[in-house]
Amino acid sequence: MINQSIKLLLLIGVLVGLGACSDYLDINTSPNSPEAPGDLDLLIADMTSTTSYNLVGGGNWSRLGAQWIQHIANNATAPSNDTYRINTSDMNNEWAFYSYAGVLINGKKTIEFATETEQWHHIGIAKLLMAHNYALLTDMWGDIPFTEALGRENNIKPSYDDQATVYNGIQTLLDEAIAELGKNPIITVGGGDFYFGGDPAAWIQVAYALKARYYMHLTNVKDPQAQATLALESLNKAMTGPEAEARFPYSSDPGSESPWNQWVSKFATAMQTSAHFINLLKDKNDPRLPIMADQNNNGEYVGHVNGGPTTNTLGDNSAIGQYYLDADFDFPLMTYVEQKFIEAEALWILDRQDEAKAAYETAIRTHMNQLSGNGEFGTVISTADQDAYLDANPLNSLEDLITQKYIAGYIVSSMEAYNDFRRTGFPSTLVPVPNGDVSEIPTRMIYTDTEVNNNAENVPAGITLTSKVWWDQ
Amino acid sequence: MKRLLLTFSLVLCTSALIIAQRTITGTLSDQNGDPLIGASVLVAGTSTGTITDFNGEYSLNVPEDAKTLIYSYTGYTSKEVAIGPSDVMDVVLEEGITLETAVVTALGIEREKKTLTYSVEQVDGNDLTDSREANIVNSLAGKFSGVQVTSSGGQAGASSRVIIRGNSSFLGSNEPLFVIDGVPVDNSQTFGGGQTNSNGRGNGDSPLFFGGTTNRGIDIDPANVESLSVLKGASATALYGSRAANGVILITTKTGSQKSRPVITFSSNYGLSEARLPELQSKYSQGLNGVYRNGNNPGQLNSNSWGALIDTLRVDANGDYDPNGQPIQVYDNAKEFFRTGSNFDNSLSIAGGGATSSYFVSYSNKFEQGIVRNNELDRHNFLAKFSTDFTDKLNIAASISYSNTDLVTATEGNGLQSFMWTVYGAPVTYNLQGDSPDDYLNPNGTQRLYRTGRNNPYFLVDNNNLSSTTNRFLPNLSVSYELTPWLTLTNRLGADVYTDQRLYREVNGTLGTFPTGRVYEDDIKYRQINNDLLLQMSKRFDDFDLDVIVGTQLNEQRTDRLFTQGVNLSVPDFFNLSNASTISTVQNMNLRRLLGVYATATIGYKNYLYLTGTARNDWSSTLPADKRSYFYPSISASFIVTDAIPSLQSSPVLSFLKVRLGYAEVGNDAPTYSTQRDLYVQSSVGDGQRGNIISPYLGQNGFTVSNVVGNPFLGPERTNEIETGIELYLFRSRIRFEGSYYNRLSKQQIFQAPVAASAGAVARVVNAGALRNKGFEILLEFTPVKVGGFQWDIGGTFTKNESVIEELTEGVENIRLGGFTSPGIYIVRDRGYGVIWGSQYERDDNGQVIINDDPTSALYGLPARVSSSLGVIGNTLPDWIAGIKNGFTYTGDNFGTLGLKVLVDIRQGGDILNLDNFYLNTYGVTKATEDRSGENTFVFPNGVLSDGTPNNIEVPYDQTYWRNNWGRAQEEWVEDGSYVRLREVTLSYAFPKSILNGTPIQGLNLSVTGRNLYLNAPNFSGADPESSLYGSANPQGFYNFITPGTKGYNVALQVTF
Repeated sequence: MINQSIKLLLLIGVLVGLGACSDYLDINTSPNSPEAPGDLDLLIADMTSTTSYNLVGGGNWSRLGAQWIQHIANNATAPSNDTYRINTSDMNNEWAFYSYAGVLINGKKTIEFATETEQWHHIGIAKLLMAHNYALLTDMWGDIPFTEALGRENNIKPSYDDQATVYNGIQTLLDEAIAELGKNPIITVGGGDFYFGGDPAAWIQVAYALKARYYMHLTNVKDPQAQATLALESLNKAMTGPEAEARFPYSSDPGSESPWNQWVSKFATAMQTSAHFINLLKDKNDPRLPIMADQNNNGEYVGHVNGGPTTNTLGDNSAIGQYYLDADFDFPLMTYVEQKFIEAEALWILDRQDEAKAAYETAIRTHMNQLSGNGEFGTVISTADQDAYLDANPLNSLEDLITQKYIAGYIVSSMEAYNDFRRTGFPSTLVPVPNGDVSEIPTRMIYTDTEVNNNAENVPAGITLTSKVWWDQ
Repeated sequence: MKRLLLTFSLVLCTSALIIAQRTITGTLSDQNGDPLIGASVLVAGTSTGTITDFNGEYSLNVPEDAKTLIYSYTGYTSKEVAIGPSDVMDVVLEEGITLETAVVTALGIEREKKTLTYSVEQVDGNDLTDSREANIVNSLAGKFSGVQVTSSGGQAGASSRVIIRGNSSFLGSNEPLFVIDGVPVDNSQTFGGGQTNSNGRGNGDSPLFFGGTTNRGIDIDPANVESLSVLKGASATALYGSRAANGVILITTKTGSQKSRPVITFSSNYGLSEARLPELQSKYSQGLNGVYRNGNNPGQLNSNSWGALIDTLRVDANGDYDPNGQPIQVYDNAKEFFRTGSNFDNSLSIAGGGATSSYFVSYSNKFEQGIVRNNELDRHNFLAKFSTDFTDKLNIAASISYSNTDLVTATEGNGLQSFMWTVYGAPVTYNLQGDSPDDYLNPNGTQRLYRTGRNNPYFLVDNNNLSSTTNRFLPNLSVSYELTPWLTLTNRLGADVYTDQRLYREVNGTLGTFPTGRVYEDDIKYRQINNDLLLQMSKRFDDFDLDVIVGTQLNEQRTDRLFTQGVNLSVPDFFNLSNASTISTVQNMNLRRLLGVYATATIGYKNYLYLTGTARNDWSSTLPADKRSYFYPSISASFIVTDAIPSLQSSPVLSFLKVRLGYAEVGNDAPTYSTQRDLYVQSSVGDGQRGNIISPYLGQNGFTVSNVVGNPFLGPERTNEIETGIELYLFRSRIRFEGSYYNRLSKQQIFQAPVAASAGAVARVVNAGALRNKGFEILLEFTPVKVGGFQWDIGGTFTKNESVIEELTEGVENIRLGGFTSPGIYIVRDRGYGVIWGSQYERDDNGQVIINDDPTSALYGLPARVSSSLGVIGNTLPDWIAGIKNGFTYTGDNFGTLGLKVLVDIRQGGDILNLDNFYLNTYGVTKATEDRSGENTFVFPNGVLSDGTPNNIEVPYDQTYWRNNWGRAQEEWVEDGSYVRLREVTLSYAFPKSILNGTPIQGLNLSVTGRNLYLNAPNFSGADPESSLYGSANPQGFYNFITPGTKGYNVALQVTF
């Protein structure tokens, strides 16, 4: 009997031994996720939608920018982001899910795969979107990981590059993007590019417009005339009109709505037009006001004072104009209007005032034409209205120019308005909220938890909301 | 003396294995001559034995060389009786405290408690059913030392968490393994809500906006439980291997007895429950700045209750302010909102057996209607067990359990679909309920509510809910063959198979992300197959007892989940995927396999010294091939001092003393699919709040590289534990004390460690970190009075556990478990498990809060600044927990037995992040905000002024304080969750046999139970500190818009035929 049991034990051992060595346990390959994307349009789709939904139309770039620059105000109890209450966690998503572990890492992976298969246009779009994303990051944070970024498991603590290095890198990425988009690959980009359906010429124009934007960001730290000249050179090949803008095709289908519709109309209903903005337009008798803001319950245009006490009901104030909150508002990556203002500023710096004036007027007229026919009352802005407005608001100073750029940049270019304000101090009517956590309008963003916690030795120390980035001197 | 419930179970698959040399029969009875049913008869030194039938009779074939029979019965002193020439052995057992109580241990092996070298606690099934809880986990509360139970909320079917000796895994499950009749079963909680995380691997954060769901332990019918053992330390659970790192809950179901006529038991129980609500202010109307607003008037909709004093407020017939009008009517909106819940249980069982076989069949139904309208649990349980001795040596036992659980729940939490948002928040001057139960729509079809931007709660619970239908089978087949009288081979094959079909409905017109409606179908299929083949040897050599088990285990678990969501419904109210314009799907499959070989040996010397060793090796599919094999041993010893030293045996003071010491290691494997570096997953572009764009978009799919980097070099996790304990019985065992101390280190954990985002990832899978749990637990039982038929028993449990995250991994200081990034529930290096993380006020070097002493400032007298860096602002783990049980029984001739059981449950410490207060203080509805006239003042504690002197500035309680200045830093949202709770009171009466004579009724019991009748949580302003938005998942202590806990009453009847 004992022999029998020993035999049995041996048998058990053999059975288990066999089991352990066989394929029985080789089942740990995920059936849920592939190890390669196969079709690189899938990655382009993720990058273009994240860029539009989280970098340009959403995320705290546009939301914070619009509050700090007082395009909009939060009609809710302070403290809030509107009163410069910033937690180190507020921008985690921006770094993690939208940028570095979002558009940027997918861009890097796209480039790796596409280089093997010579899909040049995929590389071009990836580089363009990466350049755009790095610019957003460095404009908010100054020094950021760039040359060592995106190493995944091989470098979990990337060092930080100074902003000048990053800006050089951004221009290089855009130049490379333009070069790649100029090639003729066998496999082109298709539906994954929600902006242009893979049209390389359209992207090249946007790349040049972005180049001009980033040249002009550096007017305070480099020779402004040199920067203006570089910008003008780029603008020669940039967008040819508003129809050349990169616009993301949103719709009213659930899960397809424009980001400001999803954020303000469906969630943050207390986000209203800022009193600063409405008063500015009222002062200028601006015909765009009925489109940019709604009337309050009393039929008046009353903005909410940033940081001011909450009103009894939201209806006491003017909401953000429905034009911007429509579910199918095709949020632009960069507007042609902004491009014309960049051109006007570059010309102004080079003292070519007549040309500057022409660009300035084109910018304003184009914006008015885009808005005309929209708003609560289908407000139409006629050519006569435009003439009268331009007569009353001629270009006499850089302040005029930047203030008009600020108005036209409402919601769609709030981040650029914020950059311009830091660079030029305009509009000069902007004053900090009375009850802010800091006593001036923040001049940058503090580093996020994801970096502070996990990359502490590289994160620049001593940074506050009122420190300045390199180009903001 | 009625012994209707078998307190001792037949678990030995080898029981009734016989050698045909000799048959001994007899009857077991107590001093009064009443038969002892289900008592154990065992041939000493073997595993051969049987239990007595319904008449207390037994028949046992004993080998020729057998010398002694051991008779034992819970609550009675065991007897060893030498086998004499007679084949009839009638034995009388004396009531008393038995030291030889048998308990069920690992692999379902029953052992004498005395011989154990580790801690095991066991309760009878009726101790669980007394609490009348639907969820078996809830019924464990307060009954075991070292065990913490936390229910999550007041809806029927709410989940409940059980933790043994603290949390030992950073991010994995920390709940014990549930084993029913030797087969592991699933007790997990699968979140609802439909928000897939960015990796599409589930929906980890959906409870934040959706609330928890139920734990699958809900499918277990407590009425079928014969006994439940808790194996706490690694020494006790080592044989279960990897999956028992958090302890084991061993459930043994009821069974029939051989040679017993059919015993029919019918029980029925009906109960009511009601919400335990927080106190809210009722003095001030809707409005702001002391000005009343009429929430029925579209122009005056407002979320605030900062209006006029109700005492002096006068309104006209339309409810508008009118100084000459009538006093305004006030409403207790929360009280009206919650209904009286009810539950109705019925169960019927038949147990019995023939000469060589036994059976048990039962059916039960539980129907519970929760305190929230439409919240309902309807459960049917069938259990059929059959066991037969095919030959003298071959026993086959088969059972199948089927359960059908239908559960409908309402959405809780921080999302707009959460009905709780506007229940407490409704102003007292607003008639939330309206004129009729479904008066929640305006004539134009929009929702009627006192404010904008939120949903009417009646509208939500009537139209939107999650229904879950679970069909679950637990088949179990056990075959054992006695090779020799001391050697038995057993194979136990079992499975746990269920499908959970869920349908979520969100009607058109619901404010939130999906205003045009949403429906999702979530099909979860789970299958676990487990086979154990084991050889048991039990032999006595002179002074030595030897018990050896050698076995192998094969375990496979597979989960398939198909989640399909449709949004934008064409036909309102029609919840079918075909009715949606946009459809998206997440499909997930997980398969894992484990092979194990194990051995255990216990050597006993002269019945007072025991040494146990175990060894196990596992091969897991989830680890890389070169690291999938891992070995872990344990060794433990116990020494019974009182048996070893003869002079102690007659001591009137010291009745029993045992000391024990053990060391164990346990290995554990990885989550599935953690070893592949880069995976690509479908895009899920969202803003982290409530918005998203659904992929595929415009017919174009999107993929992204996973933001979690896999690790092809993973090795197993390791836990080691030292445990020492003492068992001490005093004064003829009137006082029984058991204490254990343990120190457990769980290291090389496999978890997703956050990385700096700039590396291009959010987390990477690592094999690192160390988490230490140490603590002690005490079980104390005491019988202060035992006079005549009256007995008073006191039982107490005390649990203190301290956990410290000793190490995370390079570059990681903290990891979020749940909640918001800030505030949230985290694990933080050098701190405990599950701390609250959020913003703090700026402090000086002495830790004093810096106070604003500028009289012109709006913050005069209050903390000057909120620090921009976040930190630990609370600890959700209690300092200690305790349960105190008092039992009174009186038994008289012709009187029957009257019993009263009172269970008090105490928790000291355990902070709660009360996010409700953040909203409700702002709205002006909490009780605290009633003090708003500005007459009363306070001085902010622990404050320091700019000149360094202590803060002495008096700040008035007024609207500005509560609405704008209270809680600027999240640390003010944290409350202490200590409580004393009268968890259970049961009054029971068993009719005397004399009355039942001449009727077919053998036993008749009546009982009345009260649950949670009293709760004192002095520092918590919410409903019940025992609440968790995350249900039974790791992030505990997050309180936000959760259905309040309940108190309830039940009456029960049990008849035995």
